[in-house]
This record gives sequence, structure tokens and C-alpha cells, in this order.
Amino acid sequence: MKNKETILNLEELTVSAKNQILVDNISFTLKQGEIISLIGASGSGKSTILRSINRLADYDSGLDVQGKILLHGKDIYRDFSINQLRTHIGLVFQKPCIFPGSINRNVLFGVRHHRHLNKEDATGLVEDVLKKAHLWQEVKDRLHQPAENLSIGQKQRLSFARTLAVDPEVLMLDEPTSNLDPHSTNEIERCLLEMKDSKSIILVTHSLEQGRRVSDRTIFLSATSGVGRVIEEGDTVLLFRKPELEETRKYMSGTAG
Amino acid sequence: MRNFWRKLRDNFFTCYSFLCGFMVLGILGLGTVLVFHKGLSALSVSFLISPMKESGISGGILYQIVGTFITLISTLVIVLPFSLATALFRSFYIKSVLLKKAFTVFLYTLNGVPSIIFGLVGFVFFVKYLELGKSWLTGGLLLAIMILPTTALALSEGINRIPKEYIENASSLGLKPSAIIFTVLLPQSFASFISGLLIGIARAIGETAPIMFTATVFAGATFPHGIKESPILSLPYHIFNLAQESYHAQALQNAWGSACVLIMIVFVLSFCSLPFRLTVHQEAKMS
Ligand SMILES: Nc1ncnc2c1ncn2[C@@H]1O[C@H](COP(=O)(O)OP(=O)(O)O)[C@@H](O)[C@H]1O
Ligand SMILES: [Mg+2]
Repeated sequence: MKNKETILNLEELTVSAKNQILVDNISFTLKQGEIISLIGASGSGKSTILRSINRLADYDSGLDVQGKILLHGKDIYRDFSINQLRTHIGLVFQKPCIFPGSINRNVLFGVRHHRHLNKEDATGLVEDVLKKAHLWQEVKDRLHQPAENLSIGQKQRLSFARTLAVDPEVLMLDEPTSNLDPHSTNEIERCLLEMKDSKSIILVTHSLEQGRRVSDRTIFLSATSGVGRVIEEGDTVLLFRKPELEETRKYMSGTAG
Repeated sequence: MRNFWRKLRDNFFTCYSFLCGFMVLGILGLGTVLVFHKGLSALSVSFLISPMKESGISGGILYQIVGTFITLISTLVIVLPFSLATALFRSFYIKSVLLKKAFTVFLYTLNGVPSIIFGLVGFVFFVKYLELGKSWLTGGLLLAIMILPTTALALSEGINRIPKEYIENASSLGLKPSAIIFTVLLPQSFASFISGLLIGIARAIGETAPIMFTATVFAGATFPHGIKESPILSLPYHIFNLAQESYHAQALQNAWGSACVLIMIVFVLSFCSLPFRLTVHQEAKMS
């Protein structure tokens, strides 16, 4: 893991709303093919961190973002246009959001704005990403039916496929399974593991078990007095075996958060 | 005892609101019945498809209908891009709550400006200052400005009802703002927009004041031949003129007939907006 290329680099990221700090001084690096899980109580700024990395925080929500975020060493705030950045870094939200129209349309919703797809390309791509998102078997006979009729777990995998279709090198997922049934949860975890080689992934989760099952490295956040901070981070196996701080131990044993 | 008073009061207000509701419906119904009662006998196919003769005493209202539809379409074409811009401005570009309120008040004020004012301003500016003379385009433009608040507010409210998740999801997929407008905002506020448009248009085509000095003449026009000095005939102005000749029974009869046609167009437009009104609450639904 050590000599792998660094993809994403956060340096002293501090995000604040009007006069309130939401997350304070976050630094970490994401390496090629790595899965990092961000774990912490709700309100500890996990979503805010992800939203800063794809610029929803500053550009769309008007939050103040300080510090540096580097993608391949280039400043995401200066060296990329927003749309370009978002083709490199994809985000899957907690609540699946399905656009009106067919399953097919939803899968192609983003990608068709980035490259020209002829009919065969499109068909192939839809099949490919739906397979990767472990949804193909369930929907292959009704690609042209409204996506609205899918179950919530299927919708989440569809959102996932939609993000994959844009082919970002960094994938961020914000509690993607918190509303899902065990089957869909399991499918999503499996696809994350299968995708490890080609993608670098940041997974926000409040489930310790999920973090342990999926991630290589874990970052624990706390929300003391409403400000999100990193309390402990490290290799997932080691961290779970022997957390250094009392707070992490408390969180793990379920007495905090 | 207290219970009794409360019941009485509740019943009173229930009765009162029903009464008012029925009164509104009654006035609408009575007016419609009156127009149809007086006008239906003047209606015939030849009335609809032949041009006016003898200053409206005989002949039909073909070019009045044509002119009204030309006004309708030009109003529609002009108001579309302006509503879009105004609605986006109100929904997204004004960040301060105070400014947004001020802008909304401005739109309501514009909505409240008496239509004769539009007529006068249009006359001074387009007809005289720009030396356009009477022109169908001026009419369309003035009516478009007049209904802009209705259509823009409808669209803006429709856009505001779209859960922000849709916009954030689309942005996260790297869509540019223009792409978001055309793939998310417009399609998902379509019903509100169309219903606003139809209601605005229905109001616009019945207006006489904005067009009578600027766009329409009583006689002597058919299809527009250009922009400058190119007036049209129109139903409301036709009715206005015939009604002034009330000593002539046939003219008056034809006025009622024209009113019938106009009211039917307005009704059709309003009814067309109904299905869109009914789907408005669905379009904003989130999974
Ligand atoms: N746009 C915003 N303006 C003000 N406060 C915000 C905004 N977005 C998030 N917050 C606040 O930031 C804190 C962290 O939120 P969030 O990142 O969603 O936490 P998590 O995802 O870990 O539950 C919360 O207290 C939330 O209320
Ligand atoms: Mg969150």
C-alpha cells in the first residue's frame, strides 16, 4: 500500500458556515486503489467533507472552505473547472435520487453530457455499469420502464451505476446503505470491493461493521461541541483491534454517538 | 354555553365561506350563461369563417379570430424566454432573502399595473417614439410584459418546489448549469409553468386596453405584412367597437356572438391548464 500513487490529498481542510466552524483541520490522503472509511457520529461533518471535495460545499451551498484539496497534486479549486472536477470525483448520496424516466435514461443521465455515445456504446455502457452495480440481473428486462418503480435498494444501486457511468477515478459514497435492506447493502459492499483496483474510494458510514468489512483505512471523526475533527485514523485492521483513544473505544463499544 | 357559541361561530364561518364560494361561481356562471344566451344565435360556421362586412353589421369575424391567435402566439413566444430568465433570476441568482422579497413585490406590482397604462406607455414608446405605428408585434410584446409576472412566478415557484437533491445530484454528475436547466429544472416544473402560461395567455387575449392604441384596428387589416404599420384585427377590440353601436340590433348581436367565441377560447385555455394544475403536486415528489 505504501508505494501506491497518491490520488487525493486534503491539507488542513476547514469548512465553516457564517460564523460557525463545521469541520476543523482535516488532513488525509487517498491512495490509488484504496478504500477509506470515514466513521463518526451524525453531525461530525462527514457529509460536509465529501461535499467540499466535489465543491458542493463552497460552490453550491455557499460555505467557506479553507485549506487545500489536491487531486493528483493539482488544486481542485484552481486547476479544474467544476464540471471537469466532477467527472474525476463522483458522489453517491445517502438518499437515492431518481430522475423521471426510464432506468436506461437514469444510467446515462450524467455521462451523455460528457461524451458522445452512439446507440451501441450506450447499450454496452448501461449493461456494464449495471453489472458493476450488481443491479443488472434484477432490471435487465425492464431497462425502458420507469425507474420510479424500483425498490429503494435498487434505486440506490441505480444511483451508483449512474455515477459509475461517468467513470470517475475517485468515488465518494455518503452512507449509501443507511436506508437499505441487507441484500442491497451486501451487493453494494461487494461491488466496492470488486472495484478496488480501478477506483479509489471514500466511504462514509456510521456502521462500524461496514467500515471493517470494506475499508483499508479508517478515519474516526468526532463532533465535540458541533465541530467535526479527526480523532483517530489508521489501518482498519489495526485500528479496530487496538484503538488508542478512549473516545474511539467508546464509539466502538456503542456508548458514544 | 361556550360550546354553543363556538359551534355557532364555526357554523357561521362555514356558511359564510360556502356562500362566498357559491357567489364567485354564480357570478362566473351567470356571466357565461348571459353571453351564451345572447350570443349563440349569432354563431354559425359562416360567422366564424367569413370576414366582417358593413362595419360588423353583417359578415363574420374571421380576421378578428386570426388576429387574436396571432397576438396569442406572439405573446407566447415572447413571454417564454423572459419568464425563464425572470424565474431563474428569482429562484437562483438572488441570494439575499430581502432582495428576493423585494423582487417578488415588484412582480406583483407589475401584475397590478392597470392594463391601460401598458397601452399608453406602449403607444408613446413604440408607436410614436420608435415610429412603428400600430403593429401586432407591439401588441404581443405589451401583453407579454403584462402576463410576465404570472408566468414567471408560476415557473419560479415550480422550480422552488423541486427538491434540491435533484439539482445536487445533477451537479455532482458534472452537468453544466445550462444542462441542469434543460434536463432538471424545466422538465420538473413543466406542469406549473404550462398552467401559469395558459392562465396568463387566457388573460392576455381578453385584454383590449394594451392593444387598442398599439396593435389593433377596427377594420381594414387581414394578415400582418411586416412589423412596421402592420396592425391586426382582434376579438376584444371588435366587441368593444360593436358594443358602442348599441342602437344597431344586428351589430349588438354580432358583438355577443364574438364575445361567445372569445369566452370559449378563454375557457379552452383555462381548462387545458387543469390537468397541469392537478399534476403540480406530483412533480416535486422525491423517492
Ligand atoms: N449549508 C450548511 N449551513 C450551515 N450548517 C451546515 C450546512 N451543512 C451542514 N451544516 C452543519 O454541519 C454539521 C455537520 O453536518 P454533516 O456534514 O451533514 O454531518 P454528518 O454527515 O457527519 O452527519 C451539522 O451540524 C450541520 O447542521
Ligand atoms: Mg451525513
